[in-house]
Amino acid sequence: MKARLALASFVALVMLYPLVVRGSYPLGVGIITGALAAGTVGFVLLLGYAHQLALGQAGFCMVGGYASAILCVQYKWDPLLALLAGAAAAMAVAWAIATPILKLRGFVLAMASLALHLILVVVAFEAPFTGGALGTYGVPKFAAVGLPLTADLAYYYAVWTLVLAFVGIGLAIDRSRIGRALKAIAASETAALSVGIDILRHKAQMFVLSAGMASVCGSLAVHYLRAMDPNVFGFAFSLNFITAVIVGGLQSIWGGVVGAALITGMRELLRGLSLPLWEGVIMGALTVVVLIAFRYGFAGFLSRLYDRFANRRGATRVALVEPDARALAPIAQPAALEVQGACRSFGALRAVNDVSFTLAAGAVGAVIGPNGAGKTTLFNLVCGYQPLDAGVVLLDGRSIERLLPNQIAALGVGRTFQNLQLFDNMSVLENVMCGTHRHLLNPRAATEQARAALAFVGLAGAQTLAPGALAFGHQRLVEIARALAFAPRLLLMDEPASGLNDSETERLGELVLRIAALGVTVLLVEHDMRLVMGLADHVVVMHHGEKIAGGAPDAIRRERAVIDAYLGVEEHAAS
Amino acid sequence: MIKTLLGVVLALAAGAASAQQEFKIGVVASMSGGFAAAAKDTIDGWRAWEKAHGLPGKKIIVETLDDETNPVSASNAFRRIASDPGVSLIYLFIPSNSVMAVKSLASEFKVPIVAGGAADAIGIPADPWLFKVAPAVRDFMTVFSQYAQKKGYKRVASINSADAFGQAEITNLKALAPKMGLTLVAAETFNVEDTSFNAQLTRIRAANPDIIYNGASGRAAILTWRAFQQMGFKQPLVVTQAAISKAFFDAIGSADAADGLMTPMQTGVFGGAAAADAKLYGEMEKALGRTPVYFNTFGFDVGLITEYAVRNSDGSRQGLRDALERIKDLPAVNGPVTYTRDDHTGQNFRSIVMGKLKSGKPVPAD
Amino acid sequence: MDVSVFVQLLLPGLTTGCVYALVALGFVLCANVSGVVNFAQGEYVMLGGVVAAWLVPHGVPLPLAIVIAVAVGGGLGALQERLTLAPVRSSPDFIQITITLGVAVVLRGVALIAFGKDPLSMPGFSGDGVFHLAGAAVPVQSLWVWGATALMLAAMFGFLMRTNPGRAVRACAINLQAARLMGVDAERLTLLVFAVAGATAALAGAVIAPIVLATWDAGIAYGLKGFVGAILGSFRSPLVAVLGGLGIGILESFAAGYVSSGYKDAIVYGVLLAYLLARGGVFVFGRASLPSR
Repeated sequence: MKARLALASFVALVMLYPLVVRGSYPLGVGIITGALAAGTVGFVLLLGYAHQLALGQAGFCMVGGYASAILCVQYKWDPLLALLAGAAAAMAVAWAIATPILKLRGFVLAMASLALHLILVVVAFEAPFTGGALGTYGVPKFAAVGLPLTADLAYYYAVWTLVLAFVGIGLAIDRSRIGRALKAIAASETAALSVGIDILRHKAQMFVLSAGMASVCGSLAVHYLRAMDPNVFGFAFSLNFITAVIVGGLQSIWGGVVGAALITGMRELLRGLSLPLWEGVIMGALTVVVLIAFRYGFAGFLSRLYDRFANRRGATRVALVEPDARALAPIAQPAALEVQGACRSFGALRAVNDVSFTLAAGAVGAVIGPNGAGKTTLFNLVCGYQPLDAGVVLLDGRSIERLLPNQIAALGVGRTFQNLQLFDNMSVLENVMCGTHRHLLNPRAATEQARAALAFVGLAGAQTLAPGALAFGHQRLVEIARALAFAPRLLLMDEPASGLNDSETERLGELVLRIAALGVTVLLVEHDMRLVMGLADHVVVMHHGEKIAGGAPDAIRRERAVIDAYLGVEEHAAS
Repeated sequence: MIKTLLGVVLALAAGAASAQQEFKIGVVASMSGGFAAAAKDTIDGWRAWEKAHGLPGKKIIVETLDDETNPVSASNAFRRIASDPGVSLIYLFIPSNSVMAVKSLASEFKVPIVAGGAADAIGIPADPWLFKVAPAVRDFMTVFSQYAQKKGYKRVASINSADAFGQAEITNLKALAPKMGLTLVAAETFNVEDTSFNAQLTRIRAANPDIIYNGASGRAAILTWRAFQQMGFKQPLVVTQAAISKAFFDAIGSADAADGLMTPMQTGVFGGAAAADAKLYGEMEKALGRTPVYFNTFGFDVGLITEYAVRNSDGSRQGLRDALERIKDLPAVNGPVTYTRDDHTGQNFRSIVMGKLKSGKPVPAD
Repeated sequence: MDVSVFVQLLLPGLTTGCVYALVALGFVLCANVSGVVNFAQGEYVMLGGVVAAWLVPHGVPLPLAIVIAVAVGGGLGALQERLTLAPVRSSPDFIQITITLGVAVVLRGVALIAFGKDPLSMPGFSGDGVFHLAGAAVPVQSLWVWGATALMLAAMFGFLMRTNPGRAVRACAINLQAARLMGVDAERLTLLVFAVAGATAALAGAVIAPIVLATWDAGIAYGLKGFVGAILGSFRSPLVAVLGGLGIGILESFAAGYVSSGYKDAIVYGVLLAYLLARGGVFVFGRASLPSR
């Protein structure tokens, strides 16, 4: 309903604008706003969804602008084809630099894209085919495959139709598997990796898409300006994108469009007041103030307003229902895990020192030991979050220690975390749906799978809630449901009972048994001895990074070394 | 009753008459950005014309919009002004890039435009509605080359800005050099925001030229001048007219410090007997109240052209345009103005002479 | 190879490199302690230059003008931290970084309105003469730049190596969470570091203003080139950042001198891009560890 209202408002405003304002100049402003809006949709995806600040978006606008100018003027191409060619070129360049650079820390992309932009400016000045400093002029009006749009009004509608199409693309992404993946990455990269989300690839996808949309922005603007030179899309234009998206709203696809309209309106107001010099200060100040005080921007503000009036308040309390053990199908091909000689040191500290053990397919294993024994580090080594200094990890006989976390996850290794890693920017259902990421399911199948997992853990009633609204014990269940929707062949659970009371712990134990009954290989890290003894087929005891005992639970609990490790060696004889 | 009626009629007539007397000019000028100083000088020159001549019987209304030294803003500002049905004439006091951006739109809006900017492409090929004032870069470089040839110099070095103006300079110089028996031994470029010209000057020095042309203006003009002094260049140095400004003299210490610096100047700037039109120059100097600099003269000439067009037309946009195109050998501070159907450049190299600075004032160079 | 040409390119390159080095150092220190890249860093150089260059012709004695410029830089740096970063400390990094970008734009805009668009000139501290070395002519002011930079670097490294706050800064660079656990007050430290970074950048700007003139829009270039220096040190090592900044200044001068003055910026930024692409291709930085905040 909110979405329909947004769409209706958009269409109404776009249609009304030229009727309300008369004159060639205001219509021109409307056209330029539309061009900017086309680019900001892509930028919302990049900055708001993928959290990548790019300072050189104007560089891609240049690619589109020059492509349209040169191809149309010198080679007499059809403007629409030139626009598509420009977008393709921009996306190719973006793809070429994205993958290597995104591997480095996030803000590097910001400066790298600025450097690229400035290089393009130099090339535009110096290269012979761009017309040099004077640029290319006499660019024809836009035409769509032979259909000319000579009237400004026709062009205005064409531009805004394109904007609508882009918004449609953005909304489709938002609702899709990729959109969920992006939100997951934003909430917790660690957990995103654990469900097999390739962080790098999705960030690169958004960078490439935003480059294409920026290029279209450039092409559209150039067909209006009818001239293109190196000064048209400068650093200030990149700042326009940033300010527009921030003021408009980072978390909404409509945010870019709203922001484009707002800052263009503000700029025209300043021009009308003859205060052009103040534009920079005001844009900068707006950016800062909005980010500090109104994080969600104008679109976010409207969205919240709507929520307040529509009184959207669902149930806040959820009761556990009886878990349905038949909700999930048994796992085919559970995985066997073998660790040989795993070593990992942090400086002088040997966190994991030559640990080896085997876990048969379908078995339940446990790693226990006092605090600081290296259990979580061992998990991180198995799942790929930490590199091994020495040793191998074999999954079904295949070595995986060199793989990235999401690659290991793609092989069917699921995980839950000691300090809960839920995606607090999505509902419970969407959280669990993220678990299905690697299966490439259509939305209906993903929803079904997620619902089944929630039913399995007994949380069928909690789907629409935000995870933060749930009690801690229920949040743990959500994370487990997510791991189950993932359909793991091997499930690593890092202290799942941590923070639970006795009755919750008991239910957890039953749940783990039901998971094992599905055939999943389970490896637990746990403190709670009763839980472990009741569940595990095979126990590994760690102390100071080393494995001090391994075997069946009953045998382990009687070993001297284990008792000493947990209780401490007696200094004096008991008196 | 009759008296009231008469009073109303008279009032209406007076109102209509006074309304007729308004002449609205839309101005797009660089009020901010790199070209702002030049635009301000131009506007000052135009105001001097308004004070000295004006449009008799008409009240001039000026609306000015800023192009922020940026073609996009220039384009927008132009659209805004040209959309105003009350505007009869448009001035463009903006750099060449921006003028070219407007040129693409000129025939769409059909408002007569008088523009500055040095790029050759502004006047040729001619757009029916766009008229250029001041010679093209081609003409300045022609005078420079002629001077070098006359003095027997063979090796020429040039340093130009990486923008439309600079590129036009070097393109013309490369074309002219072989015809004048000159060898271009170094052609350096710099970005307008650059602060160091060390590399360029080092290469120029290594090329051992006989005479050097420096196309820098604004901050770059100050810094290059200093660099030339510091690196001990002895060759004669020719700069672009746009470099000479009050800000330049202030920054290098005093007007005297620039003695010996040469620049191809429009004869109008010489003043006195050397001026193309001494009378007009005198009027301008008097109205300005100080020694004019280049861009002042250009503004004054824009006013003179306007004066002619208004006087020789019915005041409509088409009428003004046609009158402008009919201008032949119109006396102006910088030399006679002539427009033809195919050439809207206005003034050409005949109105340019090589000048030399002495105590801040230009004298013809020997 | 002509020695005089080489020296004529090397020494001025070294001079601008000094400014880049100080900017790079500021980047690294701020980023290590606060986790945020301060895009306004270059603007402090600009402010130091325009404030000093504006004060001197208005009758303020040169030493006082410089002190005021440095105070402005330090004060604004502290203000930036307090007003725009402290309130959002728990926000994601990219939001904080974008805020610093907004601050940079505001500083630029304010400088434009307050000081105008014309370049401001400033007399050299000991005159505007040149000295000659191996056939090259170098402004005497360069000596002031080198001297001031050397002094600031010595003070900075002394601070980092020998004082407690300095050691705390280094601890934050190695592991922020562990440093916090050891009792380091990262919040107070951030304020200190931002103020110091702003002050040193302003001093650099004031000292180089006599050579290059001060304009309101000079900040971006300084920021970007200083950033290149910082990135060469992975944003961790102050020493590599300083060397990187010096190197970029020299590279820029040589690129302009030996290759092409038109393409010089493309070469410098191309080096940055090439370096990043190589790093991304060969190294894999992507291993996520469990979140530390």
